[in-house]
Amino acid sequence: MNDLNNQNKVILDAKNISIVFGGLKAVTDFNITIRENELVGLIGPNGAGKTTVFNMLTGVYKPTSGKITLCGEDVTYLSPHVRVEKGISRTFQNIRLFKKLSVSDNIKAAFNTRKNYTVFDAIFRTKRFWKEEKLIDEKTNEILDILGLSDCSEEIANNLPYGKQRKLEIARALATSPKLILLDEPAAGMNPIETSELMETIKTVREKFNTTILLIEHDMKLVMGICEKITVLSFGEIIASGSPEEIKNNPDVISAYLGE
Amino acid sequence: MQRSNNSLVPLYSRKKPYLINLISCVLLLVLVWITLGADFSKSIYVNILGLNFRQMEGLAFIICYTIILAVSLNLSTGCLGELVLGHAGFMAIGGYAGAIFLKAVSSSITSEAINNLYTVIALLIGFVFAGIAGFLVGIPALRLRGDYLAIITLGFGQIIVKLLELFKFTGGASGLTKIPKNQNIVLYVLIVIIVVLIIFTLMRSRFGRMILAIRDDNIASEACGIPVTKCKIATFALSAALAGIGGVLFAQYNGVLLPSKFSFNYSIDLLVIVVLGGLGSFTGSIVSATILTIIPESLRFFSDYRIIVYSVILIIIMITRPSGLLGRYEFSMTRFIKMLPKRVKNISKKIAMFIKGIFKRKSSNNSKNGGNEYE
Repeated sequence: MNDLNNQNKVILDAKNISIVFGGLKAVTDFNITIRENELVGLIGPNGAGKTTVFNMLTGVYKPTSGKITLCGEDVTYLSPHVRVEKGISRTFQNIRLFKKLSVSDNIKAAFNTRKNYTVFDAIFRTKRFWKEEKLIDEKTNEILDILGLSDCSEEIANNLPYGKQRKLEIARALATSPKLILLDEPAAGMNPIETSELMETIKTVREKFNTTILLIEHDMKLVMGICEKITVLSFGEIIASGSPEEIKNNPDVISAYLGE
Repeated sequence: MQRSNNSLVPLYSRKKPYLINLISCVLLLVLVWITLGADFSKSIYVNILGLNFRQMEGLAFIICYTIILAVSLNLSTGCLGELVLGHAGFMAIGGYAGAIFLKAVSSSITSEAINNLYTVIALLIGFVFAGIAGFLVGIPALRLRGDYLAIITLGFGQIIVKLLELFKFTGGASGLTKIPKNQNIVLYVLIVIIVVLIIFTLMRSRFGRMILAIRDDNIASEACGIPVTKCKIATFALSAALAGIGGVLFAQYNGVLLPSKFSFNYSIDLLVIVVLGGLGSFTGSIVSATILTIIPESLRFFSDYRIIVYSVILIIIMITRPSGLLGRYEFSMTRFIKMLPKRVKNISKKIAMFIKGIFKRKSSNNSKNGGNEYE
C-alpha cells in the first residue's frame, strides 16, 4: 500500500470481504492487494480468522459480502477447482496429501488442470495420450528436482518424513501452474532446522517458478525473514499492515500478541 | 519401506507391455476356445474338483459375468472409495433392457453370427440404460460426502426389485422367460477382456489418478483442480454401466430373468468378492470372482453344509489376509516375464541344494559332483 514505486501487476485483490457464520462475524472487511512476485505474510493470534480468509480466497467458503478479483477477473463465487484452474493454489494447515499414492502420482494428479486429453485418448492410447503423459512426466521430474524430492519419487506419500510431506504439498500446489500460492502454516510442527530449510525452499520456489506467495505463519522468524509485506489479523479485522519493520514496532500488534 | 508398484517405469515408455498383454489375451482366447468352445473338446471327459465337463462349462459363463460385475464394482468401491450396496440393481436394469430388446428381435435370429451381433447390440443397450440409472442415482448421492451413497444404492437396489415385480413388460414376479440364449464362451471372454481393458487403461491415465486422488482426499483433490463431484458421478455411472453389461451376459446365459435374483444378497455377494480380492486391485477381483464362483460349486458333495464351509473359508481368508487376497497389488505380465528367469533359477537352485543334501547324507565323496550337475 505504501510502496507506490512498485508498479507490478496486481494478482489478487480482495475488497471488503466479510463472512458471517450464523451470528458470528468471523472476518470483517478484509482487504488485501497482492502484486506480482510479492511474498506477503498473514499473521495473527489463534482464532483471528486467517484460515477463514484462505478458505474464502480459495473458494471453500463464499464470502457474505465483498469482492475477490484475480488478475482483474471476478472470482468471488467460483468453486474451488475452477479457481485452481484460474491460478490460485493452496496447501493445508494439517497436511492433506493423497496418502496412498506415490510421490510422483501425487504431483501428476495435480496436472489435471491442463485437461490435455480425453477419455477416448486414454482408452485407445492415442498419440496424444503418449505425448501428454511424457510431458507430464517431464514436468513432474522437474518439480521433484527443484524441491529435492526426486530420490523418493516412488515412495508412498504417507511414508515420507514430515518435512518432506510439507515439501510435497508445496510441490503439488506448484503442479497446477499457479499465479498465486497460498501456504497455510507451512512451518507448523517443524523444528528450527526444518524451518530454515523450508525458508530456502520457499525462496527457490519463488525464484524458479516466478510465483506470488501469500503465507500464514506463526513462526515470526520465518515471517520476518522472508516476507516483504505483512498483514496482521485479530478477531477478524485487520489491525495493521506494512513492511516487517513497521509491524514489529506497531503498538496494536504488540498488544494483540502480548495483551495490554 | 513400502513402494508403489504401479509406476516403477515411466508411463510413456511402456508401449512394449501392450504387445505382451495383447499376445497373452489372444493366447487366453485360444485356450478358452480349445478347452470349452470347440466341438471336439466336448467329447473329452474331465473331472476336476468334483466337477464334470458340463458343470465346468457352465461355471466358465458364470465366472465371466461375475468378473465383469466384480471389476465394475471395484471401480466405484475400491478406486473411488464409495460403498455401493445396490450393484445388482444396475445389473438388473442392464439385463432387463438388453433382454427386452433381444426378445423383440428373437424371431429374426437365424444364424449364430446374427445372434452374436444382437448380443453386442443388447450389450450396448444394457450399458446405456444402466449408465443412465447410475448417473441419476449418483447426482443426488455423490454431491454429499460420507456414507450417503451406500444408503441410497441400498434403497435403489430394493426399489428396482419391487418395480421389476410390478410392471407387466418386465414379466412381473415370474420374470422374463424365453430370452434368446447365446452361449458362445469365446464371445464372453472377449467381452470380459474388453471391459477389463477399458477399466485398466482408464485407471492408468489422468482420469485414474483423479479417481484415486478423490478416494484419498476429497478436499485436497478439489484444491488440486479436480472437479470432484463431476468426476465421482462419471465414475459411478461408468461402474453402473459396466454392471449393465454383466446383466446382459447373465440374461443371455440363463435365458431367464427373475427379479428375486437381483436382491440385496446378490449385491453383498459381489461386495464380498471385491473386498476379498482386495479393494482397488482389479486382478484381485478377477481372481476372487473365479475362486468364489468355483468354491460353492466344488463343495457340492458337502450338500447342505457347503454354505458353512464356504463361510469358514471366507473367514479364514479375511483373517489371514485382511486387505484382501492381493491387497492393492496388480498382476503384470511384463513383470512376470521379467521375474520368470529369476524364479526358475531360484527354484532350480533350491532343487539342486535339496539333491545335494540327499547326496551328502548318502556319501560325502559324491556330494560335490552330484551338486554341480544340477546347477
